[in-house]
Amino acid sequence: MEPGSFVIVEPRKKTSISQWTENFVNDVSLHSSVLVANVALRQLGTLENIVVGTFSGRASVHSYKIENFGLRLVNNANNVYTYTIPQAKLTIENAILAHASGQNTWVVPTWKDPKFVLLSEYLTPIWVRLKEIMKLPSNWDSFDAEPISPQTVAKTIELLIEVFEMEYRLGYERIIPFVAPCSDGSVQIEWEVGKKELEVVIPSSENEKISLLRVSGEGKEFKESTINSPEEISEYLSWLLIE
Amino acid sequence: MKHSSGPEKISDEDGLYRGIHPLWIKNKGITSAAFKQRPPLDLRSVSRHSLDLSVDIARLTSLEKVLSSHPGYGVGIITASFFLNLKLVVYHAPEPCNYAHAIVFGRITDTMARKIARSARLLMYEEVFSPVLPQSQ
Repeated sequence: MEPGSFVIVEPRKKTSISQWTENFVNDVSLHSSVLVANVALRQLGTLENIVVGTFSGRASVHSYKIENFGLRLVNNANNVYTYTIPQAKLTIENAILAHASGQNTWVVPTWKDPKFVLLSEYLTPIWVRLKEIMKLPSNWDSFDAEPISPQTVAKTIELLIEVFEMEYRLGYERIIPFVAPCSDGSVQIEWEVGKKELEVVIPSSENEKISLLRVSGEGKEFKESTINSPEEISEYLSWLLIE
Repeated sequence: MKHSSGPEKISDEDGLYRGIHPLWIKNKGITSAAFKQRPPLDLRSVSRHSLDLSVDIARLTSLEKVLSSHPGYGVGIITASFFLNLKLVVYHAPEPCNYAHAIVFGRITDTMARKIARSARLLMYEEVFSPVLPQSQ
């Protein structure tokens, strides 16, 4: 596909109402957070991976469907996906502009690039669990726990994409981590590779650092540390995957 | 079950029950996230680490009661001595609806949470109270 050309999204039939997410406000909020965090555009920023779509229809009949990592709009009135691809050359710049321009315009990652397909496969099982985590109400653990915010989930995804990028770049097998909520509203990610383990806690507050725990030596050696941003995870992944 | 008038002394050998949310169950074990309890609001800005963790004293309750109080949850069983060896304090803190309630008090670091998680034994309702099926002839 030529850079700058448009991705055609085939109209698809809606088969069942059960396909639609029950909590689309949270899901849409999360996707907005992910896009605002510029994850999709920064990490997957080849033009082939981005569709700018303008939804045509009455606002009252809008529905949203989450497909792995894409957000799609559907018109309930005629049960088909409706996209109008803008008649302008697509660039990352105008994709961002289009996203910011109004509620009826969305940036939608698609699945054309093999790397994006791999990323989608990597994130999908985690994404299923993160959606469950994001739906937890207050006091979900019966010990007065905080709910997990879409922003914390977005930060989690951002870190996971960093991990994917490194594993992809170095040609390592992608290890699906275990993801769990913490009572204080943070999210914990855990990897086990051989006899080494890495635990990462994504805090719920922007003022707190990401904390890490390395476990080695048959589960008897522990090293705690903190990082400021997901990009700094590479040193710890090197320890986990290479050393 | 008869209860004494005041808080009871907890011995090293006492078993403690911690309710385990289904999302904390990992490969038939427990993730350390289950033991990273939130600190009080006034300490939230100082540390993410816990200053108290709610548990039940095993001899003051029953496994069935704990397991059936939250369907789908598991129970992590840890001996009091394990917490004491980590320099944490365990004290009986009965609640109106739960006489067995106790508090594990002290700062739980990520390392400590990991150690606690690995020492805990996970029990699920189905494992403990599964009906005995008649054997086929």
